Amino acid sequence: MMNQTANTQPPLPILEVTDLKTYFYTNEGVLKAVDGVSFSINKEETLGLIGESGCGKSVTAHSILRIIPSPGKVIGGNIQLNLENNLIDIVGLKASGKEIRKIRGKEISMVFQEPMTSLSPVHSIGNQIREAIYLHRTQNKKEAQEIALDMLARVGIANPKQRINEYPHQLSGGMRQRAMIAMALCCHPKLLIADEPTTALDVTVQAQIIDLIKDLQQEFHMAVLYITHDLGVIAEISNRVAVMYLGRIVELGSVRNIFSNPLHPYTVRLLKSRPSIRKISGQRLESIKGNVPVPLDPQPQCGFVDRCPQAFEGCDNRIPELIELEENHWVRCFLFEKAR
Amino acid sequence: MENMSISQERADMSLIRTDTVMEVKNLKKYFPITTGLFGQSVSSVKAVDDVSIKIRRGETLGLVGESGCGKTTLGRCLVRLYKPLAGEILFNTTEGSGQEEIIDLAKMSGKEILPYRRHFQMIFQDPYASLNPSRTIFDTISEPIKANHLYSGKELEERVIYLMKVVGLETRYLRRYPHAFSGGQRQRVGIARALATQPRLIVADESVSALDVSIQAQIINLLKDLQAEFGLSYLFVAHDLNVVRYISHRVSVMYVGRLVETSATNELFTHPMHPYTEALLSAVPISEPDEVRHRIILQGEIPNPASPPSGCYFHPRCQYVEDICKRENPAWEEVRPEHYAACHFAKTLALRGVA
Repeated sequence: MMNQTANTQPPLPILEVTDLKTYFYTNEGVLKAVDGVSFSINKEETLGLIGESGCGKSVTAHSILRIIPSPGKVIGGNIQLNLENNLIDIVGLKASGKEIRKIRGKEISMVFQEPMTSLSPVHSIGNQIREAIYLHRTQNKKEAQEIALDMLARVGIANPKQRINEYPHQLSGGMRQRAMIAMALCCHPKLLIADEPTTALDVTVQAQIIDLIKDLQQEFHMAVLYITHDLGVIAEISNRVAVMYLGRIVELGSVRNIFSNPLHPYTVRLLKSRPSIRKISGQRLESIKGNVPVPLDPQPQCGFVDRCPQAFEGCDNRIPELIELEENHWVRCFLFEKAR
Repeated sequence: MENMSISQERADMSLIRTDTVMEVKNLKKYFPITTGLFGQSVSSVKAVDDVSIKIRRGETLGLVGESGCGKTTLGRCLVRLYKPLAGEILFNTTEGSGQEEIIDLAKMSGKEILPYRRHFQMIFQDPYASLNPSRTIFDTISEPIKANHLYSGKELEERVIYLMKVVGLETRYLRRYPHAFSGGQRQRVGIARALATQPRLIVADESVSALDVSIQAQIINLLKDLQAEFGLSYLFVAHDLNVVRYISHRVSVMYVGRLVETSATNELFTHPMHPYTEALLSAVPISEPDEVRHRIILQGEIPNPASPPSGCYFHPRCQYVEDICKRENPAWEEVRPEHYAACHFAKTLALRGVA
């Protein structure tokens, strides 16, 4: 009996981020790139993180791996990585220490947007993949070569024996992204962070890469944090979606909730402002007025207040809380704080 | 049948109909691949290969295709940033009810084109790279007006202020430099500059691709408003099919330097006639998580335009491929009224569009 109740308990999420704050101390002031972000990612789940440029979605990812460049700093919050029998507090680790290096590439891997600039141009593909294998899996040269060849074949690179000795400039954009995915997955991470991995690619190649990530996710039983600004991509790949605006999550829910029942005025308008291949041309797009703001010394107020058509008195007084309005559907807006 | 061929001939003779702003016939632009000390040409990249399009007055023609397909090169040929190798670019300079004057931009020298340049302008992709950081907004917008001797002095300033208002920029920013503006605002400056000479045709090359979704909608709406107000024609070069469906009246699809299909927008999206168009449509992610889609994942990569495959360029990746596709280049045919495609089986294939 005891055992059964223990089994029905939901398993611990692989990653729990609580009230994460990452600030950049610039000459012009404090840039609050990430200002109180909380979310969790369950095992084998895909969480989509969506937002416009400068909303802090990439900084969130970089904070998880502790690769924030100076003058940026994780100044608060908690990032807990739950491995079997081992809970690791990532914020507590030294950014250049041994412990975090054991996590990078092994437990958490990352795929970057621009495969041309994030791969080393002077090392062959095989060289770069083997580096991660030597660090985390084996020192044996022959074994490492076999793992690398196997990974290249798994990500759909034809003729891996030849390709492994080629350099990034010899590969096309789609191939480079496949090679980067092979590099990220060669140590079987529990969590893959994909930061706009298909943004620079053509649609037909994008479709190939999205399919590949989905397949590999099932094969390796890993969780994925998928970062993008493309609403279509996020709808295809995610189980749950977090919408970010000006350093905060403004809405969080299942992909179905976000797309068919969006609550936050920003999410609602973002969905409406997107032209769709399904919409017959002719209607006018509902754009959001104003510009995407920069969180430089921001006022303690709702970040969307200047652009929000539903703003009322009080929206500019304090920061709204992220509240769970329906089950597993969270929103940060005074409209709903009042309603509750 | 005979009647038809006569009317066909007549259409050819009149070259261009008055409602057409630009007609491109069999345009070719090759880039030589050179080698060695003296730059001997060993072969060439056929960036634009035998392309024919027509842009009507007040119309937006969308031009889609994947990177490297030659869509940017085609756009640049039309405004003569490149001199084409062969073919015609017939441009109708007639304004209002005046005497019809048709020029062939393809054959003219740079000097000969100069007086006509103000009729066709370009909006670029990257609003950060396409503005000169050391010139104020006033300098940038007024330059084409000065170069064409349209206005000067007080009138010039009034004209620039008017243009800023038209594109939705605050006029107090007149003397500011580009660094002070956001991406959306910079793109508005680029649009104001393009409008400055009262052009008839604007080539917009990926003009909204670099912008955030909420800003993208603002600029798309602006482009549509300007078209309605000034009767502009656009060649809208883009890879984002969502935007193209929204903004275009007609769409042309390009693959490895050749056109594969041209048709009215809704017709092309609902009844594609070329397998490449079908695959392209099916690959676009859509924001409806519940929908089960029939997706065609194309195998392989886009061929290298320096050594394209035989026959139909799409045949190595086409799921409907037959022997003839490997041997013969399909003809450009009007499969349905105003719906052109280059596929041997355009008439028989039942392809899937979007709803």
